[in-house]
Amino acid sequence: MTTAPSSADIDLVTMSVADAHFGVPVLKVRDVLDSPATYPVPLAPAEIRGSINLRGRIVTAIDLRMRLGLPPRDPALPSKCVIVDSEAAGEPYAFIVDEVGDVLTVSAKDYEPNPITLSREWSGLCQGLYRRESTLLLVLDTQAVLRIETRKFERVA
Amino acid sequence: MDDVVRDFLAEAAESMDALDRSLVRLEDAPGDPELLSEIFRVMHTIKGTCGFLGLQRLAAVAHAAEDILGQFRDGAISPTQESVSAVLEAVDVIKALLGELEANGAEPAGDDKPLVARLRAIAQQSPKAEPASAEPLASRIGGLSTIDCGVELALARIKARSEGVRFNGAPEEPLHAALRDAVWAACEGEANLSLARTLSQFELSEPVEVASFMTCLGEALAELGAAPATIADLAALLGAADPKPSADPSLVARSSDHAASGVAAQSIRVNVEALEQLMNVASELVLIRNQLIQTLRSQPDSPFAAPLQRLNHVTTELQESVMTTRMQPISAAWAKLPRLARDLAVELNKRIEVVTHGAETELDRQVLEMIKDPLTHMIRNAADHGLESPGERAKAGKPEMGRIMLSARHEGSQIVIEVADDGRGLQAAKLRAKALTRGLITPVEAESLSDAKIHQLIFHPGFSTAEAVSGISGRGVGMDVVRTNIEKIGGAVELSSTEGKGTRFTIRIPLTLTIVSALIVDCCGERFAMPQSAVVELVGVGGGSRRALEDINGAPVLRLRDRLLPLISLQELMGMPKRENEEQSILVTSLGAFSFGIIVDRVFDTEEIVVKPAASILRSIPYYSGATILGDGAVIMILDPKGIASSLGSIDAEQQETASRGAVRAAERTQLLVVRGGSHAPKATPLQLVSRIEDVRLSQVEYANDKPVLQYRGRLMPLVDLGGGVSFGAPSETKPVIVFDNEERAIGLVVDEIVDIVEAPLVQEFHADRPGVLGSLVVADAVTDVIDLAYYWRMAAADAAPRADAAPLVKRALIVDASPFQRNLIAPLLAMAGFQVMMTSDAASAAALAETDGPFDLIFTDAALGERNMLDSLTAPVIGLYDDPLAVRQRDTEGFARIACRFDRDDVLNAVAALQDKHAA
Repeated sequence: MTTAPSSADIDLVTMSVADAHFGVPVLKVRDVLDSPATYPVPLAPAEIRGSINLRGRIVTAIDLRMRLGLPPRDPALPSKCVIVDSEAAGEPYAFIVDEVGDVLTVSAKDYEPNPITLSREWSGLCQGLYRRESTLLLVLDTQAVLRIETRKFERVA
Repeated sequence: MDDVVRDFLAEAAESMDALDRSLVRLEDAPGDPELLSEIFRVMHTIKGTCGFLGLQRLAAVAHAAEDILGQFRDGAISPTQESVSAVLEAVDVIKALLGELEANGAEPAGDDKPLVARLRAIAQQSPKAEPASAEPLASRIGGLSTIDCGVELALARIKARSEGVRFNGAPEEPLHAALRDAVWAACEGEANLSLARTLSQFELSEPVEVASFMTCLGEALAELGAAPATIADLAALLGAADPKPSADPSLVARSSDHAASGVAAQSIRVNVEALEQLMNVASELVLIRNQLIQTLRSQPDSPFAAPLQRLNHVTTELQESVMTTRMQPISAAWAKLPRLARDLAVELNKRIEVVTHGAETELDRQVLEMIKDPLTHMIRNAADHGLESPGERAKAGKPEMGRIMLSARHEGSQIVIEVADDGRGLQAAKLRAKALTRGLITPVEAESLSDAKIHQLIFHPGFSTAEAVSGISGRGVGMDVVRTNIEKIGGAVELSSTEGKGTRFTIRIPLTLTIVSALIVDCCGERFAMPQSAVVELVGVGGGSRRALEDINGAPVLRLRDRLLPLISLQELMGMPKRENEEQSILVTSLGAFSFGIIVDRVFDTEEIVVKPAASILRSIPYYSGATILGDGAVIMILDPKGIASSLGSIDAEQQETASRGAVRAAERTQLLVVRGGSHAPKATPLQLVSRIEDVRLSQVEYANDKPVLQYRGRLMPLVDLGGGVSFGAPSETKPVIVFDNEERAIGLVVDEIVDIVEAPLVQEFHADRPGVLGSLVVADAVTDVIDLAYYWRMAAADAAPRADAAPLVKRALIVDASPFQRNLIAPLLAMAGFQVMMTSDAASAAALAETDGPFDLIFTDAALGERNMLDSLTAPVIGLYDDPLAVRQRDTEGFARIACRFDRDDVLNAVAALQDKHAA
């Protein structure tokens, strides 16, 4: 499950959601936007905040708080948006987070697999973590984040 | 792979397609030297390049094929079907080898000795025998120059005539050249380029036109010194040639090929992906421009106004140019069709020519890809069961050569493609019979439906008209797939057919799928785009408009002219919070024959939108077909009318047509007789139940046993007043009497006034607890009671003597139907037919009733009744009742002794009679 980063050091874009810190490999990140306008998509799964107009491209935005089962964000607070490429679908998606931090270079010696106490939901979405001085940095499995349960549309009788 | 090889592959693929076409044309015009040398040149190039690249198999096959072509060109052998087939086979082998080469980068192992040997054998055939006549006709006339001169003179004569045929309007030069070629070809013994066909290119195909030209030509040639016998021979040749009015495909195609070869020098190959990318960027630029324009609208004095204006123009131009790069002539889609038709002709032993018009009509390549398959399908159909065999055609007085006509033209932002054949046409009688055996229609409908409606049945899934299933078509997966594919790209297909004359399909499709015209609508503050092609009408409801929504048991409907339109609320569909909104708009949406309305809050404007695919994560939502960005930068979803229609219930792709037709028909079909009498409210009874309406003078009413009766057709008919009374008014008055008659007994219902006969949906809106009333409907804007005929029948007919000659039949019938309304509709019919009627709502209680009150002679049931198998144990024949027999599929009819339409009195009684006869026998 966890394709543990190898011995080499890697660069992670860091982001925070509620009190948790996450990292996404820098090569997967295409762009970072500041509080972009999102346009809701009725009937979409709850995790999908809506669509974003990324310079003429339509990008579907996923609210990481909802995806991670965290309480919803105060809509008045600013949010950031990390655009990642979906390898499976060949199209970009946007992760809406609270804050985007620096790009950090982490070394393999600080890597730990997901602790077994991590909730099942989260362990499905993370590929282990890196120990930092003050925080723990969870590595987001972007593909897993994009596997959102979609509701079945039965015909209305 | 080498760049050289890659270039060769791209070029060769095109050459092979061109070869296909040319070879098929060669069969029609065997002597065309230009065509021959073109074919030879193509094959020669391929051979040469293959040799150069060391592709030995390819080179060997190409060389052998080239040999034959060389012989054709030199006139040593003439192209026959056999020899052309061999060359085509070689072309196929070359294509296959090229395919392998492309896939694997190398030629596959093996060799093609048998094919090469066969090609060699043909190439070495002895030269063709000279025509039998001592001297060729051409030289007897005096050669090409004499013919040229003769044609010129003949044309001059025709034009100089003061009346009759004058060939007005035809372009002089081309007409002259074409006629000269045709006459020359005829002299050379090639009858295919007949006079009539040549003339028809210039729309001069009337026999009289052909004849006058021949006369003038004869006169002209006589002046030039040709012997009368020679002229007669020529006339015979030209006349004997196939007199069909047609444009010659080879000529049409040839002219466009010339144009193409001119363009080729100035064109380069561009990767399709690069074009797509360019298209995307251009689309984005358009959107940015729109945003800028919107921003600047509020600042008219901005210094950016002028540059923006220019940007606006340039962007529009750029977008249009990019669009044209995506455009391809439709001939790219039908390039393979002549070859296909030729192969089919050989396989089916028919003679087929494909005539094309408007091959240069351009359309978006995405659309082009989508229509390739449907077109192929339609050509197969036309060749297989549209066109007759040469023998049949000759018998029908048609030329042996069957013709398939393909044409394309632009009409507004649509492209119209027609596929027509001059074959046997659709045989309505056969279709009827077949639809009947498949249970697609009822016997009544088989008689009543118009031919045009019957023709539409070929679009029904699983319906194939071919008697024999051939390898080509006839498996019944044809036309419905064609229609589905065409509708998928927002197109429509129509059909018209005349028996004995042929069939014509007309396809309308949008020019491009990337930019569509859409209505921007608002629902609960969200905007959506609705493709305009699906919207036929906008209707405002509530607020200022006089129209209002009505609902039937919670299902909203709109009365639109004489139709009842099912409605879908976008707000409910999208699960958005309900808002109180006075005014709403309804998008009347049409999908094939099915119409429905979508309720939205507001309709803004029409915009040209750039369609982008919906994110894969959103594709499970069936109501969207994509997304788009509006001028203000907002991202909105594009609604998918098909998906939305599917939310209407029992509609899946396969049933859509029939189901919707069912809904509409049930709504349209029931004719109601509306009368006044008794209480104030109008009353109605299905017209089908009524036998006659008589005007009766009340002085004629007599009383038997204190009950009013009328001497009517030799017996006493009890009369009932709608109010239930026995006195109807002053004897001098005349009142209408509705006669319900079952041949055995009759009752007359005395009413005050016959109001109208209306067609209305027989959908119950209120239950009634009054005797004599089944329920209430809204008919023509008034609440109308439906007469409970059974009630009056019991009241009046109980003591009416049956006719003396009728055998006293007391039979027992059971009606099983969940709806009391439906039960009560059918009960009086059965009572009139002499049955003692019992009713129940479901199969289980029916079985119980049979235990206690059985046995029954007949059982009627709603065909859609659940657990129907429980009725099987009751031993009585079961008649299935339908609302709409057109919607009945075969599996629904299984297990029924008969089926009948419940609203059709005769249908029901016929079913009963048929079963009784069977019983008696």
